[in-house]
Amino acid sequence: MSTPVALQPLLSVDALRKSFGGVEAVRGVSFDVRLGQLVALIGTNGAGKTTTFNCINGQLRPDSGKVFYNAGALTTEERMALEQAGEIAKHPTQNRSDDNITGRPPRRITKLGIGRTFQITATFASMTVLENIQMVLIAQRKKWRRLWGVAGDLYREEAFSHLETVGLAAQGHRHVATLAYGDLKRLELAMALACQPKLLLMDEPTAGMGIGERDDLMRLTHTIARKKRIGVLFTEHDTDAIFNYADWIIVMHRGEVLAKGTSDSIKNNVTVREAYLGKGNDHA
Amino acid sequence: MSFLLIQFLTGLSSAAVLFLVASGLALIFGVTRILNFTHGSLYMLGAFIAYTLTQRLGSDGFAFWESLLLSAGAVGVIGAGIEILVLRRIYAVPELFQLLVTFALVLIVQDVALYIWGPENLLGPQAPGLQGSIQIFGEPFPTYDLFLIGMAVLVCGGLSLFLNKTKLGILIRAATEDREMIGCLGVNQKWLFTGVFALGSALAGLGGALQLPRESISLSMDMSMILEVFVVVVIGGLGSIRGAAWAAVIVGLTQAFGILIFPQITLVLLFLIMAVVLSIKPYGLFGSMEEMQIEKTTLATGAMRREPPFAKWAWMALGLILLSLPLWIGSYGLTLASEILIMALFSASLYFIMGPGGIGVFGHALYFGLGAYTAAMGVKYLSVTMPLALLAAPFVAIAGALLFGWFCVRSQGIYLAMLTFAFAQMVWAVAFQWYDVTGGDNGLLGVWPDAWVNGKTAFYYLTLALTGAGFFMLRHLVFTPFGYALRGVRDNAKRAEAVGLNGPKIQYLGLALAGAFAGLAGALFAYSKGSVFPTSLDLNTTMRAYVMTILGGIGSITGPLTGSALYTTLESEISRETDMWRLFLGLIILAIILFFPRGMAGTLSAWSERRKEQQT
Ligand SMILES: Nc1ncnc2c1ncn2[C@@H]1O[C@H](COP(=O)(O)OP(=O)(O)OP(=O)(O)O)[C@@H](O)[C@H]1O
Ligand SMILES: [Mg+2]
Repeated sequence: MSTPVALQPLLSVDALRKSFGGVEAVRGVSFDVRLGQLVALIGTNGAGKTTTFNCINGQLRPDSGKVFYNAGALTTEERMALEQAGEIAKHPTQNRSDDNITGRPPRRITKLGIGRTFQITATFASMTVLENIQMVLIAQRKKWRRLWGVAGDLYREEAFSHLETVGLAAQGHRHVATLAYGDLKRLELAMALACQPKLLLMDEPTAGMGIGERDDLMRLTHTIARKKRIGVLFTEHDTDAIFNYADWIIVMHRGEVLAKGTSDSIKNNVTVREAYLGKGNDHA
Repeated sequence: MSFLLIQFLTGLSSAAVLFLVASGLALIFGVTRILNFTHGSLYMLGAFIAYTLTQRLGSDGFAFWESLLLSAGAVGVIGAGIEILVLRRIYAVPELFQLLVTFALVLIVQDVALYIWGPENLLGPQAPGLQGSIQIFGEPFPTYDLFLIGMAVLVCGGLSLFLNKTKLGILIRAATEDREMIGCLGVNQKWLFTGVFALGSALAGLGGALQLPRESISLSMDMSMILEVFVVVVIGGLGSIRGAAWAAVIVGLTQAFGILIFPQITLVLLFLIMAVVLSIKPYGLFGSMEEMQIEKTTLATGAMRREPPFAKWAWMALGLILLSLPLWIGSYGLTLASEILIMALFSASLYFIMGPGGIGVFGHALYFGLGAYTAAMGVKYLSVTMPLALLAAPFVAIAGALLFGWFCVRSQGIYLAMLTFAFAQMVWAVAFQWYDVTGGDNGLLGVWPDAWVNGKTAFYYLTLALTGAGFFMLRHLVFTPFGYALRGVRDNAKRAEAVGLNGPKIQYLGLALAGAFAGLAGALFAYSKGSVFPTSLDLNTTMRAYVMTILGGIGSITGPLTGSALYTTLESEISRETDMWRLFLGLIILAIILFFPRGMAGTLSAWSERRKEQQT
């Protein structure tokens, strides 16, 4: 079945399943993420959020189900403009299966334009903040095979600009080992951005941060997503971050999707309240 | 038909001893996560002590069996002593250092045993009541071997009862399976570890003692046993007793039948099986990756700094000294200096793969030896000129690294280290057993440099030029994009993969690069000595490079240089005084790791940093 590229979402997760031994971590999860949207994937500890992320970016191979990624996606506004002008029909079409990225290794998937941050921060510990970004750029541009030249001289300006985006430029020459936790989280965001993503996966971006810091980071993410036309899928336990910034919320519970909707509809959803929100607000 | 049956039983009886020793090793590894090189030495001690006891207590009837059991007990006590005195201090250090410490103990035990029992092979008494053989389908089979099989079955049953039914046994199993639980044991943890070590050691001792009526006991028992036992536990899956049992049977039978088909290359066959099993199941038959992930070789050497501005002057000063050396140092000094340079290059190549690459390898001598044999065989059989031999050596080493590395980088941590070790031993076995081509342990002689560099001074300058170039290339590589990628994969494999780096491929190429420089060093070494022996491929050669690297400090590539200068000089001084270089090497390793785990350079820089901090 072929449909216009422009109509397809940026990311489509379809009936994803993954179990570890006897534990069914993800049981038939489906949802979409559109370009320019901030989508929150929420749920109690062990709900299967990180596992879902790992299946999307290729770190885990799902037992069944599919992940589609459509690099030619449009933002909602762009799409509506196209529809109003009646130009959708002129746009190229493609089969769904062309976008299937299920089971590809992370290093391939990231090159398609998917960047991610990890719940437990993952950076290159022996390098400086700037070098961490340079490393990402070197990897993305396949320059890692070079046996000559000094890596520290490559892409400096560009790496600095990514650091400026997240407000870390002043810390560029510090070693990551000496960074505060909140700064590490921001460095991870900068590393993900250095992958020139269309889709950004952020696993608990604000966990372990101070309250003011959390809001700053979420606002920053929001701005970047709008400005750079990026779709963001993030998991969170912090309700403020979720309800203030998410355009769309997906609630997971024990590996299944319990509800989907806007902030208001989720806030007022009785089942969600019972399963999740009712048990206190902050699980971080 | 009956012949095959006999061969089958022979295989089982060697499997029996293998299992006894390997189960002890698996038990120890499961609980303490230390892969204990000393295990082979404990096995050897079991045999020697049993020998002495039968001499003292007599060898008939009760006294014989009493000696065997006492010996096993004594080895258990020795094991506990080693655990309390040494290993207890190093549970928290990177596993590579732990392996080095246990290897140091191997060396120490070797010289101590040599001192006590002398260099001759000893022949123990026959087992009373079990001499001779019985007829099985008309073929004779040694009664004692049958007894061994029974014994192993008995121990296997006993162990499984112990692990499943007793409180202590269940605790041991829980500790093996759930690492987090260990932390909750508190004080008891200490004694659990000691107890397990004693039990495992006693099993090794028993295995050794039981060999007494079977074969003459010698000082090489430790190495040959530890090799086989490593193969067994790695095939079975580290820490798994069930795995050890199955793998012992596989290995025992392979040897029994392999000897019929390829009598020359039984050792090669052994490592081939291991390579095949690990390339299908990278964590052994009964091992799992989750278990190993916690224990990845963590050698993160901290921040990698560019050198301070004055370093340029230091390098120039060093260069001038090295250039002027022939003017004032004399012939002996010059030979020593050449050797220091060669070993520095070899160690630097090891540093490259273990520091920035973060990969612990135990077979690095493979590339050194390949380089050395390439040069020697080139000179011997093809009469190649020296420049050609020196050029070919790195390429042969790279070819070796690409061939074997492909299997290695699919594993991680200890498995990877053991695989590199296995391949090095395989090539060692070829060099050792393929007499017609490699000269076996007589080596290849007459590998002298071409006429134009045949003087000591000329050869020194050639060595200086080549090792200097190699050294600076390696040093530069650390800072190239590839060097960064290697470090990136080391620092965080998950992150590296997520930003687009192919970890195994990068490590694979890293191994090949390091191999090239090791190969060059090996070829130079062959020319400097005028000969090559299988020892250039063995574990001691790898270990020397480790000692130098760590002695100098693994924080920077200057470490291997300092380390080689210190160690090579010391070793050559000591070997002029005494034969006990093993004891010496062992004690040095112990001292470094227990007291200066960051090496000399590392300790100094830590000290200067602390001073700087105090000032600000
Ligand atoms: N590698 C693994 N092996 C075994 N079980 C796992 C593994 N990874 C996750 N699980 C299990 O899968 C379930 C879902 O875990 P997951 O990490 O996806 O939850 P989560 O929603 O991210 O939780 P949290 O909010 O704590 O991060 C949990 O029960 C977890 O124990
Ligand atoms: Mg999670």
